[in-house]
Amino acid sequence: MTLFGLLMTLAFTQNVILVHFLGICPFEPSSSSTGQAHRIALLTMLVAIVVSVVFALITRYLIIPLGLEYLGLMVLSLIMAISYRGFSRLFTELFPFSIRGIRAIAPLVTVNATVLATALITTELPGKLYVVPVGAVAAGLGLYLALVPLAAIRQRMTVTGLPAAFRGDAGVFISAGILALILAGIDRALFALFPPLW
Amino acid sequence: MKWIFTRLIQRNSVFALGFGLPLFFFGSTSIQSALVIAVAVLFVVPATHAISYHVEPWFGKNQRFVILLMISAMHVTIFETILQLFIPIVSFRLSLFIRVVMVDSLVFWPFFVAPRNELFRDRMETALSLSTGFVLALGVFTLVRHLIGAAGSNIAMGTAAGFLLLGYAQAGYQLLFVQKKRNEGGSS
Repeated sequence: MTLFGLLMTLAFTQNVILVHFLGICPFEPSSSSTGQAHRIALLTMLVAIVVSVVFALITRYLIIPLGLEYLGLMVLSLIMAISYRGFSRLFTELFPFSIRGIRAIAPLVTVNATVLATALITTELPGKLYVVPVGAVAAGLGLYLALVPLAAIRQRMTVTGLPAAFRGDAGVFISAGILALILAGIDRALFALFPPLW
Repeated sequence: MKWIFTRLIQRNSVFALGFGLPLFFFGSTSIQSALVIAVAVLFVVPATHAISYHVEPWFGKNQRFVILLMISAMHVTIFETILQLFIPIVSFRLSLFIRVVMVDSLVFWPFFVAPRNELFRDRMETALSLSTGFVLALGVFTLVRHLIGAAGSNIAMGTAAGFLLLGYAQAGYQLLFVQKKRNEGGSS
């Protein structure tokens, strides 16, 4: 598969939220405003790239040659834990006036299903090591394409006269369902060109 | 009875608190995946907290979250090994979602409400009520999804149908429990 094909597959036909329903954890806090959604999606993409590359390197050069495949998940959890500590520390140093915000979003961004799934999927990809960061960028792009429009829809819904039962999560899920339906139509068109990886 | 109603239905981990949504969603696509995910959650969440509660004090305050993550990964690995005895070939998708249990909010919530869960009994009660509430919601949602034919063999269409169904289920839940409670509070 070409790099463009990989990018299209992981961003559209295998979109983490709208097709696989992964990475829904940062969905709730990030959907309060589009600015927050931008930040969370970009940070998650960054973490996914770092974690995937480190995990792929360890898997290719340490775990597989030594036959320690059963330790793969433990190693990944350790990398995620280190990234959580590292990113919290880094952003606290860079933005000392937003410590409370950083503490609130650090676990969401570093320890979530998108990061875990991206690392596991991209490590399984055949080919050279550069497909791993490209795959992680594509998965992050997929998350971005889902989170930001949904945050905008949620913001719009707060000013429209929705029935009480449909305010909040219910309305967002129905909107996400309609977006997923649109994506399913696009997937049908792209399916022949970019078949799913798994 | 009151505990069951309050913790499992009124404060349900999925519909009221919004935890475990990826697992809930994937689990409801087939009866087999629902069973596997339900057993995984019932095993991993309480077992992680039972061990983590005793291990966390050995480490600094800042390392506790990391320790919890490691212990949950250990339990998922144990679960995967046991599962292979019963289902020798597990699909990549099912295997991926079993692994998602370790980073799910169902595992982390009893830890984040730790100041209120200082006693072992309280923390286990939170972990057990979250996991049991999840299994209850998953069972009902899987049945409904299969009865109305919204499970879907096509992943993208299945996800779209699931999102819509979940939206309407949330709205129904709001009407039944949250709005009703608010109205009762207002009238009294």
